[in-house]
Amino acid sequence: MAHTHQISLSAELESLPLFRDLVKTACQNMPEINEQIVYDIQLAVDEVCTNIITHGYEKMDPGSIIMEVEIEPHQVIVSITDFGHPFEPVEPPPPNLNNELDNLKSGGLGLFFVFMSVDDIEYQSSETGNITKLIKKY
Amino acid sequence: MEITITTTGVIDQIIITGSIDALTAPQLINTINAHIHDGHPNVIADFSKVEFMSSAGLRAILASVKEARANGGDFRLAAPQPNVEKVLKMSGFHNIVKVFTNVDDALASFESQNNG
Amino acid sequence: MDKKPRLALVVGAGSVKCAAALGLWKVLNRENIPIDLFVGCSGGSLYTATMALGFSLDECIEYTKTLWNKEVTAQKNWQALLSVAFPKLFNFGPSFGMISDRRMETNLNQVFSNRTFAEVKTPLTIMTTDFYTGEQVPLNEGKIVDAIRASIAIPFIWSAHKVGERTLIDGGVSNPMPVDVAIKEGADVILAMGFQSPLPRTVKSVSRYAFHINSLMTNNLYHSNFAFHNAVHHSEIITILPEFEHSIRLFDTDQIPYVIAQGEKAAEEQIPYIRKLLNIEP
Repeated sequence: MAHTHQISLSAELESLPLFRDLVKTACQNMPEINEQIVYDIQLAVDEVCTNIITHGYEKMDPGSIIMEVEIEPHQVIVSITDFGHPFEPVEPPPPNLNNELDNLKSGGLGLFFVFMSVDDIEYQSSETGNITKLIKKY
Repeated sequence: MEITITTTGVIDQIIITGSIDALTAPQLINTINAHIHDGHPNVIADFSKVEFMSSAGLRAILASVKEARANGGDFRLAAPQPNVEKVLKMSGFHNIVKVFTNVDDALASFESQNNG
Repeated sequence: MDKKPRLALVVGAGSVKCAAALGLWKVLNRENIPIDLFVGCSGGSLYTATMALGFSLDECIEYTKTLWNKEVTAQKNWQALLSVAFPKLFNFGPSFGMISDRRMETNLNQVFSNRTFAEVKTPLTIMTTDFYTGEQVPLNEGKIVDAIRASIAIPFIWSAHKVGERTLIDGGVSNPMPVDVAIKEGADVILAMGFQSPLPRTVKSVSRYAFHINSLMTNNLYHSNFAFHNAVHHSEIITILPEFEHSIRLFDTDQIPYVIAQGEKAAEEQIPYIRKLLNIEP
């Protein structure tokens, strides 16, 4: 039976540990979901939320982030909804030769981790918000 | 995240406990930079109690490594947990930073360098 | 910085073009600029090894002629070639290579005999790649000849080489210009000599198709690694990129004097900047 955990928090860096904790809580009592899988989901969740907090709500009133974790047979689906600027997580572009540390700062590395940590990413943006779906198989 | 600094001889150990994410990374960078500028460019970061690290943590490591080396020392990592080590490998950071399985090996690496 | 900056020389993959490193070395010797650490990959491993062992420039040029000549590639590995068509009958396996390595190994032994990494005058690391995992395997222990043999095991041409428990191939497969080794070892100023892998003029056979794809991938890896290395180094990476008016093929050994001259020319252009960084008065 699928079960769902949900949390809504303000889009600020202080919320990051709480989002990560929800992943852990949701996966508790699921012996098939090992520690490595939980960590991978936490990493992807952390990077996506960090991106929303630092870029998504740029020059806007700080809004909120709604996160939902669904445990299905064989996969975990995390849906992250925000109401900031739309931002489609496309695969990072190839590095250019004049790259500097500052370029590494702007989330390229974080997005790379998202793509490496989960099996699938879906994104949709509408008037009612942006939804990033992270799918991790177990 | 909590940071404690202990000094044995010329090598300082920075023991980090908790999570290194976008919230805590700036504090880590500031603490380590201040320590390096205080005349301690050789640093061992004890990662045995780091439970989580995101890309923000990698940037903190990178900033520390660059600062230590620019000041004639080095920043070396000791005892990362498997999940954190995976992040280091995935990003190619284990090719540019010296990572040791425990603090003693990290200490020895500095000592053999000073003798040699 | 109180301490003298540590200077590393990294010579990347580039087969016979790596001889340009000798031109660079000539200039460094003339200018009295000592290297603190050598890193070599594939063809670059030959030159960094001779430099680290303290051979003279003339000796190095002589050894180059011994190591790279047409005889080295003359003998095809018939068993391997047949194994492509009849994999079971002729035992196709991870040690596949189209060219026999007998001659090359004889030549390498003639130059390096049983010398080990412990005998180098300046620290040396040679980059190789784990055949099974693709991981970088930087070597700085054991017999130098083993490390070079593994590092120049160009895919499809020469077979993999076993060192200890690991099966190793060309360092260019994981890291064509291993600047990161110098970064990790704490070098401040890094001289990096790198080369684009040449593309065959025509792609009219299976082997050329394989070389073509291999070159494309190596070149892309070279560029993206270099971008990363630049971003993560605290100090200067000075690239020394010799230019060649015509394409230098894998075993154009008669071109060696020209290759060395171009290396010298490329190095001379960087000398004022290197001096400035190392606080050396002209």
